[in-house]
Amino acid sequence: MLTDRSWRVNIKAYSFLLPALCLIFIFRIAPIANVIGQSFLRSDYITRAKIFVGIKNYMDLFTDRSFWNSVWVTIKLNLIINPFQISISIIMALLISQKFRGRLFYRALFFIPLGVSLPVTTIYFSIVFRPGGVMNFLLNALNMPIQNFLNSPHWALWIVIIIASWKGCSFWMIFILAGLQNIPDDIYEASRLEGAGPFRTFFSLTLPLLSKTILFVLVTDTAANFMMFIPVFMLTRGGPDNSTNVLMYEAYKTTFMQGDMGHGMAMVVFLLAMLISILLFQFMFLRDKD
Amino acid sequence: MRKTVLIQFIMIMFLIFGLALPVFAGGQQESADQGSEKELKVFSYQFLGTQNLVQEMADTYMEAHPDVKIIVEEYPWNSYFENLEVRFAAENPDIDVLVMDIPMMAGYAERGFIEDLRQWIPEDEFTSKVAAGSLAAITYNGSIMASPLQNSDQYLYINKDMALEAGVELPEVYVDKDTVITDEFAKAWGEGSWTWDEAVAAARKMVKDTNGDGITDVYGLHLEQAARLYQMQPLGGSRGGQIVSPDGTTVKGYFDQQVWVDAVQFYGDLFNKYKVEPPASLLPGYDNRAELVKGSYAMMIGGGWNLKAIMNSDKNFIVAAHPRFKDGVTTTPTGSWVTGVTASTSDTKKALAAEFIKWWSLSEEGTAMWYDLTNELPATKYMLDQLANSPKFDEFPRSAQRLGVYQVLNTAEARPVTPYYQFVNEGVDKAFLDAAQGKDAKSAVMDAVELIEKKIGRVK
Amino acid sequence: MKKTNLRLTHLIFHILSIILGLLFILPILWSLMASLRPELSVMQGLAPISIKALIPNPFTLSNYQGVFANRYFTLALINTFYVVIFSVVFGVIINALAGFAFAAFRFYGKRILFAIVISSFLIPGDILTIPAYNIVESLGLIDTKAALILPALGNGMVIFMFIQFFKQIPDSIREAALIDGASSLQVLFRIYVPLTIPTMIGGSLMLFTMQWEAFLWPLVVSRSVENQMIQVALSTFNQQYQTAWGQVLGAATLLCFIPLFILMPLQKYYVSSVTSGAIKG
Repeated sequence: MLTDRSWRVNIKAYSFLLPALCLIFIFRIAPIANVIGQSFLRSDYITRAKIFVGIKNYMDLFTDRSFWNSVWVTIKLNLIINPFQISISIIMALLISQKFRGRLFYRALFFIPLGVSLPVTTIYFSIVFRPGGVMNFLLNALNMPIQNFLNSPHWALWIVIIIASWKGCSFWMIFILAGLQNIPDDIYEASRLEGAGPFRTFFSLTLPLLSKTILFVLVTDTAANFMMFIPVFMLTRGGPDNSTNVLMYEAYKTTFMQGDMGHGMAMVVFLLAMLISILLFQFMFLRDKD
Repeated sequence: MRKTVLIQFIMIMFLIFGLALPVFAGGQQESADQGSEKELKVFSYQFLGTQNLVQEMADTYMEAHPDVKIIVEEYPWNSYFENLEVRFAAENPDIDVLVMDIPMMAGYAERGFIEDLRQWIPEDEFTSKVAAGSLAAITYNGSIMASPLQNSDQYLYINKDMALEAGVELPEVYVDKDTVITDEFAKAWGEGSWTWDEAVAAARKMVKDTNGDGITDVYGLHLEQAARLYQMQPLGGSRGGQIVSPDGTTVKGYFDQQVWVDAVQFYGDLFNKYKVEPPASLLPGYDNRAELVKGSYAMMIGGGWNLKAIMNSDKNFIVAAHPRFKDGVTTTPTGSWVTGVTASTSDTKKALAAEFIKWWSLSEEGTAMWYDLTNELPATKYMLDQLANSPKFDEFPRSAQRLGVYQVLNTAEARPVTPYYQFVNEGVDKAFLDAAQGKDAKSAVMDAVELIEKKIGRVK
Repeated sequence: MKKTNLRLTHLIFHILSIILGLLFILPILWSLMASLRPELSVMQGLAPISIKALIPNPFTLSNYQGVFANRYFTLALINTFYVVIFSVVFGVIINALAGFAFAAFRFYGKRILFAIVISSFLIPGDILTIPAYNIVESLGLIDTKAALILPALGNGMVIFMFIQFFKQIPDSIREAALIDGASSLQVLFRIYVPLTIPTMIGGSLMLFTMQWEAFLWPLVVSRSVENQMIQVALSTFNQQYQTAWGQVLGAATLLCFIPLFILMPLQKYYVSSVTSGAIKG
């Protein structure tokens, strides 16, 4: 490795870095500055000129019931979906790392959702849950009351959760698997020799050793779920009665369907701030557990 | 070491803000090559859903005017409005001819998107050629801001076999394949409509669970454009309800009145109490006409654009007039798409655009061709006259459009005129949709009013 | 005793795995089978449920013909391939270069740039769609292929992967090559590059997946048919032609099997690329 920091080295390094770095700057970093700046502007409805309004956009949002509803829907969604997905991923990962015949076959099956995109998943589940669809047929056959899943404010968010989880669990399972593989087998041997049952082994041994992986998955999954958009856009459109109106969709609607970029930007800033604080919180809080 | 990192950090921050700065103004770079001066860009709704009808009109025009090039962008319903908003937010929307939904015209006029057409087309062209109702619709604050492409009419389509099988008494006057439609007939037809009570009762009779498994297989009645202001308006309009104040600036005192709470309640009841509306129709992508013809439900209140397809299907349909409330009058949805010249384009292009619009919407050749392509109720006196008197239209279902004329003259109630139509539309649509999905009507209406007023308040 | 216990446990594993496995495979299996049936029979066997749902009888390819006859969808498919190939090729190159720079050199500003690269992939791109749209608009790139390709090229995650990889290569290899008289660039190409292949595959798969599944960005940035991406095209297709379920499912099936054909054989590269961040980070 070159260890001198001469100009030559610096130039060389930067020439290697420049393309990627430039692009990252322009398309990932600069937007952050842009969104903060634009959130202080507003387009006049009549003249379309941009005027500086200070924090007025934020003030508008803070007194807006439907904005807070979107915030709540986003938080609610994340409170449910993240533990749900992580638990299922752990179960799936544990399942296929047990040594039993056919596990490789099952592993291939578990990998299938990775190749299926979210729009496709949404289409499939819309068929399952629509009125007169498969789910209602099953419910009816089991003598349970049929539900108007997609039209009901109670169910719609769950449908979004199911759609996102069908795809998400497989993805996060990969991470848990990697974490599991890092745990040496002799630890299990030792625990077995001490007579610990499977549940005890899991909770006192495996889980703590997995904690770093689980933290990583939690953080990244939360980040991804904060931007939940596709099932809402394609299927529920924020409804019924705003029960699935996540902040990302509300921001999209405000900016692109109503031409109100100022408020849309303010929403994005708020979303970013929420996300960053939750990520930091997760890091600090869960790291200390060590 | 820390100091160096700090310095680096500050440098980076400068770099970022420097990069992002030009963008703060929100302005664009010098607009890209506008294309040649004789190139027109048309931004349009995609009529009839899948064909490129506007492009066909453009092609025909280009044949007669080889020096003009017309490029057409057509968008389906669910992306048209979004795309429009985004385009006009840019410095250079790059649109010359705009096809717009009639109630949006007021807003576009207020916001300076479109031009007064009288600058290129003399006023008497409009007064002599455009039918009265449509003429009022294209006028805003005394200026003629757009030219009408078509109008719309609404019908109650009834599956006759299902009705008879269920023992339903058909409306006094209805139209079927063999009916000869005259002006007198049209009047009797319009006045012989069902009341909503009768319509709902009939619908309930026709709801069926064909295989006895507890899940409804055939529903009774479906209003074509579910929870859309255009379709919902008669539910309040029939009893004299107004949505917006006469000056178009507020819905307080108008949409929050009892008549609308009742209207919203009624629509919700169709889904939740009487259960005659198919719940699947509230989900995106539901094909109203295909399901009617398939027999998924028995009756539809829908546009005249369905006439040909439904009457020529393999099932036996009859056509009745739009229902009304017993204590009200018949009002029918009306109005459709119009076309105008954008203000943001160059003067040469504006003149060219006006020429194209004049041919498309006002000339006999243009309007006849448009009618052939779309079969939509026309808005010009010439075409309406053709409809009423030409033997070409003696045969059903073409003759049914004479019933459309009756509607235009007697029952049509235009949508509210307001520069804030998109907000009103959003709120009203939401109130009806919420009720259909089970929400209490009063709170649905109140929430809608709050939403509308908030959005108007933000831009006033 | 222990043996029956083991048998029982394995049985439970099988049952759970079968349930989950069915959950994952049934939708796409059904989609494939249903799309091979004519329109009227597409939904057969769903309510009431019967095995007929999974049998392509009657059989027809008309749905796929319809899908490919659809100009909008096919153009979007072609455009997506175009964008994907460009993104993968150029993306891997520039990210590998950047990764190499971080791993091999010490330079002014390295720590802070490294932090920026890492944070660029912690914040998911979708959130910044709206401001990024603004930036792209002011560059005059709306509705261009460049707008679809450029933002995806610089990928912090892929850079990180390459950093990890390059750090692992012992200096001795490089020194040995230098002694033999090769220049820095030759070192890069003759020695490093062949070793890079697994990481390159992993990076390619990352970029491929990102572009293949792109939705919000093309939704906002693309207007004309030639510049649309396939997921948005599918969504529009679904909206417009929903009564033609056979075709919608045909399109959806296509969109499943293409990435599966690519990901399945290369799954170990995909897995290792995706988890490279997790294990170290």
